[in-house]
Amino acid sequence: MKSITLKKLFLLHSWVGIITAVLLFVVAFSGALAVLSRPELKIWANPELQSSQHVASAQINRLVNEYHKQVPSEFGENIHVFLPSGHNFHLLTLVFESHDGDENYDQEVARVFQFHPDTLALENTYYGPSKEFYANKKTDAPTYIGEFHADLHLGRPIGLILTGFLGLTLLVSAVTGLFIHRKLIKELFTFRRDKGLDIAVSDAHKVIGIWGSVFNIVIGFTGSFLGLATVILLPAAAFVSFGGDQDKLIETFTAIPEPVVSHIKQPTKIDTILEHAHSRYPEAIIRDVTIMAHNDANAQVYLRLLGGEAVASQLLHYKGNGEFVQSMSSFGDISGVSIKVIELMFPLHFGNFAGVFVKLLWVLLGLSTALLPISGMMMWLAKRTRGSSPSLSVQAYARWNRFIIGSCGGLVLASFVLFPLQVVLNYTVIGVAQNSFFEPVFFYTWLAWLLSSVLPVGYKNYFKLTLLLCGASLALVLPLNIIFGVSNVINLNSSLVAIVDISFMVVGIACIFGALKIKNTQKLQAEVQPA
Amino acid sequence: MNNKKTFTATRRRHLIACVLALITAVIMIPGMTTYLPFQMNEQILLPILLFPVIWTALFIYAYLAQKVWQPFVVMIALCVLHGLLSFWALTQGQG
Repeated sequence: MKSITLKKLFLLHSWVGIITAVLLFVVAFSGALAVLSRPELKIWANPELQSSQHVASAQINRLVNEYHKQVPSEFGENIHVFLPSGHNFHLLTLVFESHDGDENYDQEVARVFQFHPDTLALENTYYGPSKEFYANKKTDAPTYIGEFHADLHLGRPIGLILTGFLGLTLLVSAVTGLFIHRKLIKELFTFRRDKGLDIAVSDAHKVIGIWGSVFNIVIGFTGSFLGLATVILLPAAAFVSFGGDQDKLIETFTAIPEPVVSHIKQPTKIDTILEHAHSRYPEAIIRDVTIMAHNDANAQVYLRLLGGEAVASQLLHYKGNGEFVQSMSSFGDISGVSIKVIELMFPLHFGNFAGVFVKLLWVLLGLSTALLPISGMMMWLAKRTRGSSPSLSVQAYARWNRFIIGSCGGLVLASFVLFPLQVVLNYTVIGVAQNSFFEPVFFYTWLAWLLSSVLPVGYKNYFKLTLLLCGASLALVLPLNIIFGVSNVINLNSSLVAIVDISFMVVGIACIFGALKIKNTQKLQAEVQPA
Repeated sequence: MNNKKTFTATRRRHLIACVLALITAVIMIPGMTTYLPFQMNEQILLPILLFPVIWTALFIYAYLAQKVWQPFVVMIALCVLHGLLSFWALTQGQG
């Protein structure tokens, strides 16, 4: 490759990296945490799920029949059962929907009943527009972080477009990085930690970038698709084929056809269907069940499954009498290669296709992706302080470093603070009322830490303090759970909670230990001396 | 590394890479659905799948091309061609 082309690629790699560095860190770090948000951390965050994630099929059948009798007939068109698996709601949730509304609403309306997964006691009811119910469902710390990763809490479509474009820029960075570090084999194994910080950071950037290149390309590709699919790609695709009607396109591709109601009574065997699905896919988790024309001879039942031997999530179709019809992709019964690739995008992005060890690998790779823009930025800044006529003064270099620590470290701190907050909220605040706490705590912590970066403190001290606070936040989780939690490492009510608490403690102690190893900045004056 | 020696017409390249590449990639999605020789679902899904690849390629090409007019002409040509194909398909009622 010509040297001028390599120079161009290098500059392009630098520009894209510098412009997107902080945002890319934000999305990559929150994404790494989000990998474990469902179901592991969601179960950890919800005492109701800790006690049980399994409800007997017969009980589900009984509850659907019992509550179907209590709602007006139009609400039996579609019945959704969200099982307490740690993927949807924290309670067993029955949603009776009427597509055309009722006497009070001229939009899709729902009557909802939520039950404790263990005792099956009725915990919550709702009547109103379906959209409002789904928009205001109870959230928790891991779900909040997961949703922040998806749209940065900027709302849709702005947030989705932004994260989608960050996926595209990650793709550009990964591709250009592979070309400019073309001595791949040599650089795969070059890490000179004893040659000073600058060389160690440069080597780390190359090693992490090359080892993680396939992962970064996959995440960039899938991330851009997931971000842009519904806001740009589908409307564009629907423009010609469906005259711009995106809903019609989605309906064509994901159609679960409405059954013709026969008005002939026939019990829908929900328990038989659930048992059959359990025995057919014993390792898979049933996330939700959709029942159409319940207790009619033409009833149809759809089960959404995740995990097991299938890489992508799947949809099982049954007739109301319990007869298995077919297994298909979660998008419906569509043939072709493209839909198979799209199906694979979700598990490849979320890392939820082969158990918890792959998820942990995805977390590590996600954290390495987050480190790339930071190390790249450090290299870019350090380069500008070197030479006989550096373009960056020592003060400016220190300010930039504090900005990176304030923005990126602030995000880490804000995320970690949510976990002890979750434990305290579980003890003090009930249900949906918890939702109002996450946003202010998260954003004010982040903002406060970012604003503190303007204070003229040594950036190494600032980094040390950030790391100490992050470590302290995580280390607090275990003792707080012992004091306030229903499940903890003492009573071992839930092994998952004990493992998560201990993991938080280990990571927290590692952060504190790492912080204490950082040497103090000698003097503030050293930072403000002219170059 | 001196940017001026590496790139010519840097601002125009930025404009082409950041704006025109995106517009071209988006216009190509509906345009491609008119001529891909596959079933309807493949015709629609394949351009969507190719979007990240097309955008990345156009974005990088905007900077790598020797002359700034080259990516400009290529992207304008792609826009016009796919725009016309979409328009033709819509007016012919092929949607």
